[in-house]
Amino acid sequence: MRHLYVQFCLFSFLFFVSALSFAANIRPVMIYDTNVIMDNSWNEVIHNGIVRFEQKMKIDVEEVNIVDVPSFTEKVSKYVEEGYGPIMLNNVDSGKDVILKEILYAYPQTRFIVFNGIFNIPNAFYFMFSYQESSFLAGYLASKKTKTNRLGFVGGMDIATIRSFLCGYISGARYYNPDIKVDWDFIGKDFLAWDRPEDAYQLALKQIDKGADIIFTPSGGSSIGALRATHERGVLGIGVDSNQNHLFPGSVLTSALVKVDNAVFRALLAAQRNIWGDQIKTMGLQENGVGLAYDKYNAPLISEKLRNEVEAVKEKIILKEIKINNYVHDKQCNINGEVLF
Amino acid sequence: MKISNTIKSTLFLALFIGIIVPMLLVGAYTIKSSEEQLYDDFSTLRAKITSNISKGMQDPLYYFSPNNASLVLEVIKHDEKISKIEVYDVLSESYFIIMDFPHRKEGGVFVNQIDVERNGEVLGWVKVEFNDKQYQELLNDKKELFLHSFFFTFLVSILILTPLLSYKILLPLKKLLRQSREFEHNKFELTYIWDKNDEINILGHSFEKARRSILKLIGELQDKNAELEKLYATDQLTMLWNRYKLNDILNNEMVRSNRYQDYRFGLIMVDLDHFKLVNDTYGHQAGDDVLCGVASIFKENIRTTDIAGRWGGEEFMLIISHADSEILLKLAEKIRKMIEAHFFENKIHLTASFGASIYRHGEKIEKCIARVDEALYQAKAEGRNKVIEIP
Repeated sequence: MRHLYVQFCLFSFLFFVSALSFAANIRPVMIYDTNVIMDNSWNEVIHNGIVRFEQKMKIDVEEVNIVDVPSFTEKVSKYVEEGYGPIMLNNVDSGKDVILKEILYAYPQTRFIVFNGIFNIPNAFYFMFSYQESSFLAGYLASKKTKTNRLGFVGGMDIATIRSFLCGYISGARYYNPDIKVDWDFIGKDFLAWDRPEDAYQLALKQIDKGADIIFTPSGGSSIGALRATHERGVLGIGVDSNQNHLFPGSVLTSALVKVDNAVFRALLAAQRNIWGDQIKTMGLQENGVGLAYDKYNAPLISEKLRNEVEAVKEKIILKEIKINNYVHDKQCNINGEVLF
Repeated sequence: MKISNTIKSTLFLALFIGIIVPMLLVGAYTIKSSEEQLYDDFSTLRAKITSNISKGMQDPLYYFSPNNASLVLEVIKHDEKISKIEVYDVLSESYFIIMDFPHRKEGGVFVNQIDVERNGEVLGWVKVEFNDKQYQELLNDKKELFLHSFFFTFLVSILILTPLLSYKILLPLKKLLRQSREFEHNKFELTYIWDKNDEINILGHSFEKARRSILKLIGELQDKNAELEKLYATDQLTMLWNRYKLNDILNNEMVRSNRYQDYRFGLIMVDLDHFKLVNDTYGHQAGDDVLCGVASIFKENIRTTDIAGRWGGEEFMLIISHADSEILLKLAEKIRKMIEAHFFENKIHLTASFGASIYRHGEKIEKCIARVDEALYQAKAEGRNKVIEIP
């Protein structure tokens, strides 16, 4: 009898604790690594997710910009020590992996949410997107639309994720036309590469001069520069991250969406409910994490038939009948036996 | 009589309706019920798959774990029946999984949707779109199988039943019909053999018995007729043709002679001289005997193609075919001499007078007879026992 009583008390206690933990008090903060949040691209998508969470859950989310690399660790640590959590970070540079990992290991009690990356660290969610899948569709579409059989690519910072975009893009283009030419350039090797639209503009012009008539520009805040170049020269651009079709209506063929807003919302929700799951979360076409944007701005550019063809290719990717290198994992871009980089 | 709605067509119609209609009904019922069964199974399967996906999505949705969701769906997404899978996350108000397979959108579309619940909390919903292509193919296979077996069965039935029906019913019926037709047209010559014991054979056999009876009756009747005819045409005393028969024959000869121009015939009229004396002297019996004796002379001396008849009393008529004047006279003279030389019963001896003439083409037979009469009259007038011919 007494035994039962103890058990009852124990269960009641556990129930109480779990009920408490269900609605944890959280003070989330998003740390951007560039100056511009409303960049019509990556940062803006994250921001949209945060706003949605704030409105729905009535919980404020702090948003800060830390661009300076040397003081990065110190500044992030300050937020941790002030009791912020979860702490959301962009991981965009292979050099920064080390710094991020150190912070994560230093504060095991704090929850981190990292966008881009594949590390299995217990106190963090790592979000990874299958950029190569949406880029493949973008490349396929461009390959069907091009008149010069020459495509362009203006990448932001030269990092593995952007090379994953590039690899998918070329694979898709060659899937339709094996002889197609693709020129590619990166804006730079530092964080500022995400925020230099003028450089993107110049690189795009250079590629257009060489004959490219469609340019894909996964370069965050810089992408608008490349899109402007295509618009001015009367060729087509392909936007990235958020839907950039409306920026230059009629000149943007489509945008390779990354639905990081959904990831932000869901990760914050998990934190608020104190739920932990597997650490690495990869979102591709079938997980509704990436995709192409279709709207009224690019409807005149993409016929029903063409869109159905793209959907058929998408089906093949989901069914893994088409295999594409993920540069972040594979560290190489191998298209039909030819290693491009 | 023209035959319509024959037993043959009725039989084949019955065969056709009797086999095809029940088989079609059975086939339709079988296909219908197997269709229902298939679609019941399909419905159960769809509910099961959807439910399984829903269960599989509980943890991935709760923990926001797309990788685990992908693992769960890895096998399911290769199912050709599934043309779309959607997993919606109600917490983030966005799609957690969208898999669209446009190339599988064939046939009918069936959508199953259920909530994803975990510990009583609704996390989202699962919507699965199915196509019934596999089931349609299965059903088509079944239909094809049925049609083949139906056709085969029908063929076999026809192959078995047609000879059976022909042998047992149609051919005997045809034979019976032929037999009755012959009856109808009074032909009784052909013999039909009915040696089986079925209805048609018994009927046919009855016909055959009737035929034989009729044939026998006809035979008897013909015999009687011949007898009657003979009685009617024969002179009872001399057993020569009587005058009625002679008239018939004369008319026939006239017609024959007029048709065949080279056919000539002649008449000889014979009258016994002073026959009344015989009767008066020796009695009527003796007279009759003389008449019979004369008749015998005629029969023995004319050709088989010639005709001898009693014209009346002691007058006789000979019709000589293929004759000319010479033949006629020769024959008449020969018979005259024979009568003259003959002694009848009771040593009676007498003579006869002869009138003869050849028939002339186109004339009436009465005219020829009158001429022969005239010749006979002359012979009498010229002293009897004499042959006179008027050409």
